[in-house]
Amino acid sequence: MIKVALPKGRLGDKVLAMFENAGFTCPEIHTPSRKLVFSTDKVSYFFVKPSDVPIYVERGVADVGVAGSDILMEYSPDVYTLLDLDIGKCRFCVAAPVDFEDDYSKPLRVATKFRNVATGYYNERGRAIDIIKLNGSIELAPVLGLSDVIVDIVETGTTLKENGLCVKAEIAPIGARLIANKTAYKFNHTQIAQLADQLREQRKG
Amino acid sequence: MKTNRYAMTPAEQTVTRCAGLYTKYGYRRFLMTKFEDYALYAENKNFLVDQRLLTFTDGSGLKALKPDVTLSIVKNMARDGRLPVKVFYNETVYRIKKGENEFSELRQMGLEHIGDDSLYATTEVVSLAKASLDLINAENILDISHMGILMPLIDRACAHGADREQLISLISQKNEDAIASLLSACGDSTTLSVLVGAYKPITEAIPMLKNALPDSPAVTELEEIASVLGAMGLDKGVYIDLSLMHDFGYYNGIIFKGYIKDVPVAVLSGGRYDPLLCRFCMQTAAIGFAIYLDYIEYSQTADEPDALLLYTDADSTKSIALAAHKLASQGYGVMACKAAPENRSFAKVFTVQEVLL
Repeated sequence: MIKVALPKGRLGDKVLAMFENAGFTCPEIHTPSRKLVFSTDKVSYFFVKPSDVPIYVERGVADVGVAGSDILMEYSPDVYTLLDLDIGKCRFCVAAPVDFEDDYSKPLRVATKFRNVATGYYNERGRAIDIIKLNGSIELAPVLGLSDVIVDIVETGTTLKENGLCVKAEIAPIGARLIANKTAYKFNHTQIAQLADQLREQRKG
Repeated sequence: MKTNRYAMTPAEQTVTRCAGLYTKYGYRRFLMTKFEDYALYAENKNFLVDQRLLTFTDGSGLKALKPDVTLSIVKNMARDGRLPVKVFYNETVYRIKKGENEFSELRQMGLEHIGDDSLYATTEVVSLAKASLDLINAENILDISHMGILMPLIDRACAHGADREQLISLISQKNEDAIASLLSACGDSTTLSVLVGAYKPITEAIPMLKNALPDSPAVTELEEIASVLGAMGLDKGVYIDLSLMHDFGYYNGIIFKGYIKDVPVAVLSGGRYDPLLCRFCMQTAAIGFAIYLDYIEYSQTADEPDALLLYTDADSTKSIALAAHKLASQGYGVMACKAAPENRSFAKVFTVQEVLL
């Protein structure tokens, strides 16, 4: 049996459909209930907070999982990244008020949920920064003067636009990835490789 | 013979069993102090799993609690100068585990073979790594790679313009698609992505490697090692995985990692590290491996069955003692009580009369 950690929310629903198309069906998961784990002889699914998926996989509780490349970039878990699922696509960006101009004479105040990504980006450029770690509503920070810029995920840019912000730089493209625990990959290799192949076929389609 | 986990933990069993195995092949115990000069680690920081150290100053200067054992052994051997050396150790190291921010005291056992560049020496260490895994848990896998295969392919990709750091990161993630796209973007062949994506038992992988890299001396070396492991009956569960990598500045030949069922990380890691010896002015070969004993405690072991022997006031002391002795001699771990304890479960429950019948 293969154990799968899926991200809660819209992305998780899309991914579940892909797994079921790959032959890993689980009728029970579609019936309304408060259960957290859904199992058949072939597969066991559980939905977790998207940022926790790599933890479940790295620790071997899940054999495989689906995580955004933003989370993988931020936490660098020791897992295999087997496949780009070609869904959940967006961008890691630096955004700021439309009229913002960087003042290099002082540290740049950066609000973000992604401390490591933001630090890495500005370290590469040798820019002194002051990181402000937030857990949500990142766009609010420059609007209220808490930060100069934000480093965040941008999908359509509508939220930025409605708050007078715009993308100043793109850090990296983002998308959903199939990840695998290294030990599980070795001991369940045939099953995991087969799953990856079937998901790859759907991506082509 | 099985050992009860309440008498000896899986890690303690590993130490006893592996020490016995290593001494049979001429390895001797190497005992060391807990401290080392800080400079040793500062000069060889990329050899360490994590570069953060616990340091302190005493009368002789800045010291560090050992984060690694191999460096100390090599430093001692460089001073002593008498080679070859075959040693094993069972030590405590202090370092920060990946993904954590606090220091841990970690138990580590390992083996080093220094000063013998023969293929036999390499084969002996690889076979001892596999035999060690067999002693730890019957369900195990030894992954093998070779820096001599990876380095030329990575160098070629970088000559075509690929970013080395990005490529190495993608290789260790087994990210076949991203490697292929990076290589085709810079006009290189995608052989590396196919080889990194493959995961095959060594007997199946060797023909594939010979086909892809017909002139590679590293593939020939792996073929000879595979043949010896096969002859020794140690090739079951040995795979070739070219996504496995160690630091390029220190490792130059075969490298390997060992996994056991139900433990989510590698429990054994090793390889050939001649470049480290060069840093200590020794132009010779070295190969070894470490076993991470703390991870082995997660291993599921088959325990001796526990039996509960229930007695009453009507049973004589002699009959209880004889019944307990009889069960113990049948292989049970016996607990004799008047009533079942609430905090333990037992595979079987007996009365004194049932046992003595």
